[in-house]
Amino acid sequence: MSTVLVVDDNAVDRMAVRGLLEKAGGLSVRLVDSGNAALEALRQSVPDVIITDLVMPEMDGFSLVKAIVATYPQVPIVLMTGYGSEEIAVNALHAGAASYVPKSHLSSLLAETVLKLVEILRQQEQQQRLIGRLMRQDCEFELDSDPRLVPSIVHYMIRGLRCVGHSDESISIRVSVALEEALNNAIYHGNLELSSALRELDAAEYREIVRQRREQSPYCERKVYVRAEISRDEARFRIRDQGPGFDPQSLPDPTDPSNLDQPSGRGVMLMRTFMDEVLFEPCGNEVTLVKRFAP
Amino acid sequence: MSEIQFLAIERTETSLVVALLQNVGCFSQDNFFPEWRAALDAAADPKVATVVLSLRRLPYFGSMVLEMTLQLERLLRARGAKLVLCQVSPFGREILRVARFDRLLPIFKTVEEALTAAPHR
Repeated sequence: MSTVLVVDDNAVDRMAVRGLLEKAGGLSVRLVDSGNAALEALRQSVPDVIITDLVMPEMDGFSLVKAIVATYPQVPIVLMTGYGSEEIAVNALHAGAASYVPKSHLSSLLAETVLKLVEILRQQEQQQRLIGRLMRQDCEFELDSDPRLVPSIVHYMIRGLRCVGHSDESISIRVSVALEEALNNAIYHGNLELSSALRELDAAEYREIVRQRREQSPYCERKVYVRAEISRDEARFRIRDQGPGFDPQSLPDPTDPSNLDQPSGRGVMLMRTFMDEVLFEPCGNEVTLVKRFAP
Repeated sequence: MSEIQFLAIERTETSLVVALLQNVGCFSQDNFFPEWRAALDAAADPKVATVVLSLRRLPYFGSMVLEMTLQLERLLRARGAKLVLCQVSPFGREILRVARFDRLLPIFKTVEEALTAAPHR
């Protein structure tokens, strides 16, 4: 049975709302007479849906919505709006309330609105249960050499990690850094054949060459291929560009004090630091990043 | 749609506080380069003895931010001025440590601490 907390300072309205909800069936209703009483009730148990009046002494509906959203953002809030409370209602909806029902239409709309929200919650819960059973996720992308896509694809992969149960923030950050470096390498050094040394020498010229090559053949035809195999045991990201390739052995060790000023090598170093394995194919235009997870 | 702002620059008589407002993936990002150019120009002013680079808004960053930091440090070192870092996230500190930048640059908790410890002319 779904639970509903009703907040209204008017005893008659509270009872009327209880009647409407109980008549709809499947709802267990709890009544409180103020915003403070509602917050206290939430500390004891969190309902599935909250219905609140807007004009109340001490704490109005807007302040209550803000307080609830800050602590219980997952609980949908339905506002009961009356004549004169429109401005508070608009503010409360901006603050995160899910819906509103005019007090003049409670009998026809309130139960229906609450039941719809309960159904959405139930579907979300099932979806979460299903996602929680996801064992493995494979995907493959073919990308243009457009650096603006890098943050989006990294975000997509991190979401993939979370879906199979790897939600640790520090893992997400480590994988994000390594993926960003690998993707930027594939675009700039691989497909566009640009060196870090040029960027250091003249960043304006570098920027102009990036712009030109993204429109020039053969650079503009080249793609970046990203393949991800994410399971509960490990995440494996394969990133391939269509440039001429490079010899990773030729990179200076950027942690050697004498190389600290060198423009290149730091991206690969970060990949190697934050992933468990970094494998370059002999052709030099494909890298595989592996992150393993403890059972 | 408003343009993304990458840097906030604040100038006092002898110091410059540059705050990175978001992660920078590459120099070719649409409007990052002009902002970075403006920061380098401001840092090149001979009256500026110290530049404080605040990384407060970055939970993490990659080689591009390291490269920018190095570029700024070199520019300042060449004329006897100093770069210091502050407000670095725990993960940011790890990245700086891995890249050995923690040996190259002082890191402070706050902008105020960085400015207090900074040399004045």
